[in-house]
Amino acid sequence: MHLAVLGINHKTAPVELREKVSLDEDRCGTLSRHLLDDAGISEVVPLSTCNRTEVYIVASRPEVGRREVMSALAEISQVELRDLEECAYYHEGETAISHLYRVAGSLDSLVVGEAQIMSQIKEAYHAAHKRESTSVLLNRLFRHALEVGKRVRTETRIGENPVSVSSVAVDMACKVFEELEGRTALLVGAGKMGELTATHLVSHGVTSFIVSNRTLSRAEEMAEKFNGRAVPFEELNDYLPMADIVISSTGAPHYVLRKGEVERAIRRRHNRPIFFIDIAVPRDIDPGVNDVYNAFLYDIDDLNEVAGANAAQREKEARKAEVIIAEEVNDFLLWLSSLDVVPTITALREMADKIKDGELEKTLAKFDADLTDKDINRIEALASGIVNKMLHSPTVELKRAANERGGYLYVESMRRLFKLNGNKRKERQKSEHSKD
Amino acid sequence: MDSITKIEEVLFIAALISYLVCSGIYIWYLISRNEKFVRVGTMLLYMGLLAQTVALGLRWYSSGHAPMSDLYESLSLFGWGIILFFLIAQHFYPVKAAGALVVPTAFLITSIAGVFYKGPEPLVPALQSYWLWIHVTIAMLSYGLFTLSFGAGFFYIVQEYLLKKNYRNVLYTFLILLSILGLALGFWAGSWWAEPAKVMDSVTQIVSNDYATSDYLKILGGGVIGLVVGCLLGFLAGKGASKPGFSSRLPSLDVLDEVSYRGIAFGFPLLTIGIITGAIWADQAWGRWWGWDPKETWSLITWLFYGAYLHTRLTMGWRGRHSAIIAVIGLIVVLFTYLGVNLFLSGLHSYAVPA
Amino acid sequence: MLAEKGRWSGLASIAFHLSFLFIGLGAILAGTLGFDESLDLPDGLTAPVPHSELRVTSHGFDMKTVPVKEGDRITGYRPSVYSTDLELTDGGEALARKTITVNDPLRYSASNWLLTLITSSKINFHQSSYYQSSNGYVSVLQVTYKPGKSLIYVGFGLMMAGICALYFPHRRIWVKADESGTLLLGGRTNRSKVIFQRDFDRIANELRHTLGKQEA
Repeated sequence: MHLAVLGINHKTAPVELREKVSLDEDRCGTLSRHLLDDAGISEVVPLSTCNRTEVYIVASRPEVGRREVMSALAEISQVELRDLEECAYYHEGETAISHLYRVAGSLDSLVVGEAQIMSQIKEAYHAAHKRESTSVLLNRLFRHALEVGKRVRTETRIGENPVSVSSVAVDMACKVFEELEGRTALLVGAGKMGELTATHLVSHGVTSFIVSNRTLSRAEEMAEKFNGRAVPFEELNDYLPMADIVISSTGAPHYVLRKGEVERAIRRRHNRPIFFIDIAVPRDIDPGVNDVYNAFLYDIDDLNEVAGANAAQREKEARKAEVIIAEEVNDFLLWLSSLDVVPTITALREMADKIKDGELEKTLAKFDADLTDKDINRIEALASGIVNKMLHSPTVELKRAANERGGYLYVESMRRLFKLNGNKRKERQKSEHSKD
Repeated sequence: MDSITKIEEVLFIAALISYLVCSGIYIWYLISRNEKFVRVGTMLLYMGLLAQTVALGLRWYSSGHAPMSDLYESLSLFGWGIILFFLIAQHFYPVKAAGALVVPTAFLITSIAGVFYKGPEPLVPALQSYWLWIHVTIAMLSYGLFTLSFGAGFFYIVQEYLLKKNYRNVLYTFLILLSILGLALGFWAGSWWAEPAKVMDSVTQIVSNDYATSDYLKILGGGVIGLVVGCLLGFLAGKGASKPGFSSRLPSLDVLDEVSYRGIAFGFPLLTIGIITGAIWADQAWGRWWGWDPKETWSLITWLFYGAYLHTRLTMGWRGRHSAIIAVIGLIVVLFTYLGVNLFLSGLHSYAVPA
Repeated sequence: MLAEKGRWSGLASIAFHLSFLFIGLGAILAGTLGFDESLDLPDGLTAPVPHSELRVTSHGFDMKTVPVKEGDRITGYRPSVYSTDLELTDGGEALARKTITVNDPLRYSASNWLLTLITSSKINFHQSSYYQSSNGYVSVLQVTYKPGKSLIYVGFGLMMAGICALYFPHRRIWVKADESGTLLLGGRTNRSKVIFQRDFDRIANELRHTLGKQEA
């Protein structure tokens, strides 16, 4: 039984290949069935997002798993096996575990610290669980991975500050206005970046949009999209006092909004602040606007600077996350090693011997000096005999199961039934601590 | 009676320690943004408040009159009010960060109370009136609210400069505030150090200080040392705060403005009632409403100051930095009215001076 | 009109500022027509009341003291309560008698008083202080007469009422429907313009939102 993962991601494969290899619900099902038919593979969880496609498996022998998954994936997504082999990575055991944990902690993401990956992993796992393509090992691994992801989120500040320009803009606006719900945004120019930022605003609860553009038809188009209102470019200044947030992205070669107009607008708003986002190059808004009382201006350079600082901070936090992940991988490995047959049998024997010795001592103590050495030997032999006979068949069965698919199920149940897990783990942890 | 005094003392010290620890935690929160830690801090603050409440209650019980007759009792009540209103504000608004200024202020005021600690004593004749607790409680509660406004107002100014990318002014803001605080504390410590001869009028029981030149020098020296230390701390804090990332540790402008405004909006009517009850009491005790004694004059100045805040805000639409600056200066006026007048100027309100 | 709130709030500001007038008037009255005199009254003696024909007699000064402690050592004594048993007479006829303490003065309504023409008020005898002379204690009284008192109290009342009402601003919102189906929304407030504008914008947005949905 070997844990392994085979996959491609945004770092190893071009987007064309990722598109082809991406797996929807149906394909995931087909792939799982196909792989489980093989005698060497006992558990499968496919994980497919826009940046990665990965298949986590439990195989009886490592090389079998790799070959099987590779060809099945190529076949289902109809790509050349060679193309896939070039881009795919294959991790086993410890590296595979740490890989999943890093993915869950969003350290492997395109944008380090993004929050979506957690729910994607959750969905992939639940789908696989429903398909009954998981068992003890992957169940435990994925549940643990979700916990690890959560731990990374709460114990580090990896996802705290946004790193994209448009979300930085929204984030800064939130530092002026506590909440954006019910606020009005004025879009000056109907550019792509403006639209992206406006989308972010919508997701933060902004419902009222005013769009102003040199060509009114384009403004109307955009206004439609955001359920807003298009106004002629010449009347821009009349609408300025209504806006809490102004996003400017025109291609104009000169300033569209000047200091004096902004001063007037703020006065008409009774000093309520306006947050200006200027994402045009060359700039649309007079930099002097930032000096106007209760006006806040951020141009593209300012936003990039904040984004850069935030990204640097995430890198720093990512290092903390790596430490957490290393810890958790260790934890999982500990559990995994407990599933080996030999230590389980040893533990079982140790436990039985301990019970036997304890009971013998108690019994012999009751006889005082009535017993001869011979008697004692006999009683001891009786106890040993019972223990040995009792343990014979489980031992043989366990040894046999070790070489079979799903054998760790026996080991796991044995450990649970006889409570063999706890002590050993504690002991190990103790010895580890003493090492520190 | 003795054991009650003992318990009261222990509880007061416990509250003081909890405020000190919480000051550290709330300042640390600004530096590290550790949410878990600050939650512990909030719990601790609640416990400190409870301890101080019980201490004040025991004082009331053991002395037989409302605990507002001397500087220890009224300062303790002042600190209590600050913590109470800060916890209320923190419950309704995300203003934990403001605690980095408000909680240390409360600690400072409570610890000054500790300096003036005296066992429970019977009231002097002039204070034997039911107006005592009405007048003092209301005045102290309004001061507590003004302190909250001050904290929120200060961080409003800082946050606004941060969002305007004007980092130099962030540094100046810290520098100015902490210098003034340092100067005031230095003067106070200096006056403590100077120990001028006390002259007490045997008839009126008005105590006045008789300062010699060396006493003035000591006070001045204390002020200079305080100023230097304040400058240094202000510079360090300002340097730490004047970077783009710091703005994400502070509440939004909207919240800070609102909390600062609410503090004054509730504090001003209380102050008005406090002054009116004071006038009625004065009429009863001395046969006059208003005598232009230093305390009365300064509380009128305070009242006009906050009146100006509300006037500019409600009828002229002021808000933001200008209002925040008034709120910050307002507390300095309050502290002078309260401590400065009691300690440096003698008058009819000088019961509070340690005789 | 769609909605209205706090119609009487306009009065708040008037009440508040009117209170200054009352307090000022009261103070002027008290300052010009009233008096505030200090009167030293030795134990058992009678003295004339300033600005009047009345006389006031002390029937005994009384004082209780408490020890001043420094640690457990008693370093002295200070007064805890002192009082004077006071009698007010008008040509031998007793008008009032009371034991006064610091916070409990003797008040006498001088109905035949010269200045009651302007406003009814009382003459007050406050226990202000005391000193010891060779002949025993001398009680120091503060004799005051404040004709504007009622005005000042009215002023205080108005001020409190005005301040409380300040927080309930007058707000009005109108809606006007056009023939073309356009809705015109208007609003007006006399205070807290910022908050009103914010609330108004919210209402307008909500309205736009729900109306937009209905059309669709």
